[in-house]
Amino acid sequence: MRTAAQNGKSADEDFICIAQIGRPHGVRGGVHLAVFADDADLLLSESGVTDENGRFLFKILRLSGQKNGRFIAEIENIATREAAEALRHVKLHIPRSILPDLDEEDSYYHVDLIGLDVAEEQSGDILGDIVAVQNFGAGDLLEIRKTGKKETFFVPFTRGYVPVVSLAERRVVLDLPQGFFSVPEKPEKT
Amino acid sequence: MSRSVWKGPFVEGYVLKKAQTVQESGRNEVIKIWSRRSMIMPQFIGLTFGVYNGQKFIPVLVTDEMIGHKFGEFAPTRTYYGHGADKKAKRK
Repeated sequence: MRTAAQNGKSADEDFICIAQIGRPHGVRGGVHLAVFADDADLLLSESGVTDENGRFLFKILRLSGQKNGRFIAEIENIATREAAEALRHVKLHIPRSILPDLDEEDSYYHVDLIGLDVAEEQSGDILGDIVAVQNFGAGDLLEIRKTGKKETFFVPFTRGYVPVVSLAERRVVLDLPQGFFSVPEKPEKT
Repeated sequence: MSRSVWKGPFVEGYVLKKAQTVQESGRNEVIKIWSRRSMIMPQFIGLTFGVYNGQKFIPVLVTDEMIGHKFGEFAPTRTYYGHGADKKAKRK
């Protein structure tokens, strides 16, 4: 049987991956850390960091040497290079509840949107679910996988296309224009 | 070498035609295009284009900051997912 971690999800969805340990740094237990979060200070919280199942791992005492989202971290009770080497590739998680509430209206954490059901406004049918939130430079896009299918499609995350976002009901409602899924004939090159 | 100024910006003819048709009709529609090399023009502001990336059409909602860029810049052909972590999305 596959575990929740093998499925790429936390057993309890309340823990989010925020960093991964890399190679050791120096001989006093320092490690290189690839941080995925915008706010690296989340790693320094009093509650420490956990594995994907929420099991306490350790506390990070200090972050330094920031460069391109990579830091050097000092970890509590890790004082030798060998101990640091043993932590290589470990993924660090924090509880979702640590993330501060977003004050701005219509702002959402990606982790909250991913996994929500997607319903069509007119029919109310469930189209699929959100698998990712992307931004290629032209605004946020919801990547949606149709139910029972492998391929995905993108929808702009705007009030026009996504009039309803209900985290309580765990669903979003799409208002797609006519012909959204149709593909016109490809014109010849000029 | 950059493009000579005297030539003016390059836009595929069918892209201009499709954009004009949608603007005149006033419909809320995704204009599906294959021309990644066409430049984004001021008259495209507010329109949503579906730019083909070799697999699917990526919606590109044109804003004034995009003028002068090419459509292909906003529809990458390779997708990297990474980690959501504490990243935020804002509904516009």
